[in-house]
Amino acid sequence: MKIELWQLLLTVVAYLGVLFLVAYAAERGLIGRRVLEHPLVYVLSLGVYATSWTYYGSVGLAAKSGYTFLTIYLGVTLAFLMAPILLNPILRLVREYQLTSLADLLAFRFRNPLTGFLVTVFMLIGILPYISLQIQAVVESIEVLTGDARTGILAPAFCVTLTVFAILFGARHITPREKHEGLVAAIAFESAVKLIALLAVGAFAVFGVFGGFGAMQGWLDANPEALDRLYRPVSEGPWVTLLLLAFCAAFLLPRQFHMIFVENLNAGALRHAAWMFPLFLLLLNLPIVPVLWAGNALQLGMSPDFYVLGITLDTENGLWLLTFIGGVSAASAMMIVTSLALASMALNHIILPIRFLSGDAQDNLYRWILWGKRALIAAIVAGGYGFFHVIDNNEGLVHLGLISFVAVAQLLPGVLALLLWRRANSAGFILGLLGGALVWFGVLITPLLINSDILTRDVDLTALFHQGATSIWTVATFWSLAANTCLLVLGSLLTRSGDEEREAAEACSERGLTPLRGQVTDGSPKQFEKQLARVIGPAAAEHEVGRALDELQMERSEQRPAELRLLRDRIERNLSGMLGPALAQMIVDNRLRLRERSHTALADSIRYMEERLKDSHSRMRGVVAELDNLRRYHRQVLYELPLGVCALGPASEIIIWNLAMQIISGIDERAAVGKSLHALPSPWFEFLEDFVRSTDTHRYKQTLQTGELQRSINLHKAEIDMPDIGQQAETGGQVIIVEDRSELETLETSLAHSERLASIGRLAAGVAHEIGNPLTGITSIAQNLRHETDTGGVRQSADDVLIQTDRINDIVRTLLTFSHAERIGAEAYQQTPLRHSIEEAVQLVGLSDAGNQIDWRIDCDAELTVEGDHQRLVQMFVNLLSNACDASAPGDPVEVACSHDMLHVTIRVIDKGSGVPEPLRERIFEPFFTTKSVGRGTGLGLPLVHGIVRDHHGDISVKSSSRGTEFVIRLPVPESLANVDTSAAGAA
Amino acid sequence: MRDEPSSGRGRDIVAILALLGLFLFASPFTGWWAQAAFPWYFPFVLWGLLIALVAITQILGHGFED
Repeated sequence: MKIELWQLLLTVVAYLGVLFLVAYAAERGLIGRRVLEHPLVYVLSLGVYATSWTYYGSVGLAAKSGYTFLTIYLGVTLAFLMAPILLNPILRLVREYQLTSLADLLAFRFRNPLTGFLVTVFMLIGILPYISLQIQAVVESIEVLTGDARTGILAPAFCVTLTVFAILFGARHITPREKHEGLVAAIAFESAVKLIALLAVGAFAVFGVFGGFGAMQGWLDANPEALDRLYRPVSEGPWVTLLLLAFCAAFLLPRQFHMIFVENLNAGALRHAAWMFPLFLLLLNLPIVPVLWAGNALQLGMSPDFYVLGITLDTENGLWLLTFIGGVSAASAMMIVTSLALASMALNHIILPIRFLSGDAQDNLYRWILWGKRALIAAIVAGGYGFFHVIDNNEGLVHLGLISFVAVAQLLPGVLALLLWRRANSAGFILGLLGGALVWFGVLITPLLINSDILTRDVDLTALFHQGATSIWTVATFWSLAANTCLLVLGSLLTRSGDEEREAAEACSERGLTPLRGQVTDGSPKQFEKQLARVIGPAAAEHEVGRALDELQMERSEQRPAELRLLRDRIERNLSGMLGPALAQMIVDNRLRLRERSHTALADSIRYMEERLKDSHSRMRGVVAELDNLRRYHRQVLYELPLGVCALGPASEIIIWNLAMQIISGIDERAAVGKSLHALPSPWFEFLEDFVRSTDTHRYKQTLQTGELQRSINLHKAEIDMPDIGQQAETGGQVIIVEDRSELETLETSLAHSERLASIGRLAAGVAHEIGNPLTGITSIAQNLRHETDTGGVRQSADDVLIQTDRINDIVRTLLTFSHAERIGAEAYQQTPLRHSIEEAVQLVGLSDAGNQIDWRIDCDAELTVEGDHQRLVQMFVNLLSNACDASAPGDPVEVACSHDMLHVTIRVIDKGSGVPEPLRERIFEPFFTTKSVGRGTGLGLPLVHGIVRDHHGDISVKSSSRGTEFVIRLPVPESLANVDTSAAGAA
Repeated sequence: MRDEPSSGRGRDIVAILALLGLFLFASPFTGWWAQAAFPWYFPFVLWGLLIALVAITQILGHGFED
């Protein structure tokens, strides 16, 4: 079957086009967020680990070194098995500090401008052989398919196409963080394609070439040396060395670091990846051995590296095309992700520092970064091509891959020190890396350069290390890591870390918790923008400050020192995501300077540590977790204490402002905490400031006018002993307890008023009783006088005396009634028809001239009853109706309306009179208060009504305007009525 | 107060699994199974068993404590 070159090139472009569509759909939201964040997609995206080396080269390695090829995946399995203690802490750091590459991570920990630069340069050199491996694999696979070795244009064409697609995937537009949903989706798609393709080839090998597992076993029985060739190298070859190299490569290769940590869309997915990714690799490797034996059985005249493609060549079902596409998938995924990851490293640690150090402010920083990244992607792919073009590799695909593996293994000591050894420092790390890199170059790269006639054999240092039959990989790995580790340890022990490096070490340690130091000299976000604009340009400065403010939910007017310190920290982290941690720190340190010695540092430290403890709680274990629970409990007790608590730092900055304090003052916690006492609104500032400055430790019944409300407040205070939290100050400040006794005072006033009323009642009863006896005498004498005289004048005078004594008698009786001298016990209450009581009252009031002229309207069901005393209810209605009558003009209506619900019987007495003026409305139920003219009212009518209603367990209210008055009386509904209502509701 | 999970339990399980992985694939036992005339798929069976153990511990919620 003749396959044309142009057909294959078209296939490559079409396949990459499909990949782009997948990425585009993900970025446009056409693929749901839940799908993109699914652990399976994450695991497939990690499949970028399996490159052409796995796809083609594994069969070659199996042919050469038997099952040794499995070490490349078993090492990864061991690394992922240890994900909870190895990968998860790195993921936490990457997410928390917005780190975008391994160089960022190491530069963040080992604070030295050289750290990121050296790691980046070393990675660029170390990974070039790996990129060239991919180019070689694709070119050779095309040569296998076309049978044409004249494919000179093929490699550059493939590289240009890959560059274009790498830019489309990862550098089409600037993103604030290195998260490309499209890239994740595309790489996951590619992994699925290569897995399906390889499984299909494996199935073809077993069933298509051999005719089933039985036949394959038969071939194996006939060729027992095939099995022996697989197993023998396990105990003879560099098994453990390759296992260690693969362990390192699993998370230290730039593309692996990028996909595991930087492009991680769902932190929880790593838990599933711990076993799903090794399972993916197992499935990917299952077909390797059958394919090798199928190639041997078919006696293909080609390198075993391409048996995967070779055994499918004569198939008519297009399997060769699927296999070829799988190979392109493997190579392109690796090249795209690697070039993106390396471009990001090179930009952050080589290009941008040089650019910024030159002192130019960037007018459009984002645009500059975007184009810088694009150029770097092109340069990296070109570098890989250059390596492919210049280096004459005849050692097989795996050889180039392993050179890169030994290179990335040089970062293992640094990463382990980052996680486990706080004493390690940048001097030790740089020395170790340089030492390891030197050995790597001498042992592995020099021979390649000599073979390619770039260097002469005089410089071959291999003999220094490589003696006997030991594998070159074991020699290179052992010596490079030994030199690296020894220098790292020695360098770290012989030199001291700076303050910043110690802080970084604490941050990398799960146990670390260092308070924020210092106070920002600039006093507002606006000033932050101004300062940053000088370095990153006005547009980027405005955008970055705005983004940090949004993330922290702060206002642009924010001026609190503690909040500004947090804002500075957030800006540094955000810039780190874009420019790398070293450059971000340099910019922020230079432009947003700190005052090291600051009194507000105590408040900052406490609040910062509280935030950190809150964030870190899930990571706390054992005694630490229990202590934090205890702290949170005490904090909550303080917060919910029903007394206002305000804790002040040494410089009167507010540290605690609890819930009760917020309710009493009306000032929100966010508006108070972190600010100076002076920043509190009036009158709270003056009120508290005066107490803080005084020598009093207690103040009682202090009056505070807040708006229309007058508060009565007790104040208490105590000095706080300085807690040992790493800050220097003479005092720990003060704690103030604010006790609002306004309600208590209202209650006391009400009690005093009730007591006065009770005294009046007792006095009135006594007076009435004392007046009663002489009044009876006067009445008797006047009656006798009236009967005993015939003189008209005397008789008239006796009548007048009797009228006046009747009036006195009425007042006395009313007084006695008010003082409850005649109160009937509730046990004597009975079912009383309301309408009957109302009608009787109307009849009595209607006897007077004024009452006779009123239009009485009664709207009350004859069946409606209340539990009560008929006579007292009549008395209540008489008083209400008399008042209504007095307030109404002749002919006006006075309405009495009754209604009821499940709980209450409501009686409304409505008149159209002149109403009760607003200021007097609250006083009308007070005894002896009347609006009537002297002699017409006693001021006891409505208090009497109030007393009767209260005795009947009801309440009374009044609504009044210039158009009339409405008294609303609510009495409890009698049980019989409630039962009727309930049964009616049940029937309904 | 809330009862926290045992502090080192997850790490213990990870350590045990790592030791098991090293025992299977980086110890004298590796040399033994390589010379014991097992079927060709034997390394894959060992590998699969290790993956299954990791899967079980993760599904049961051990290992990752965050």
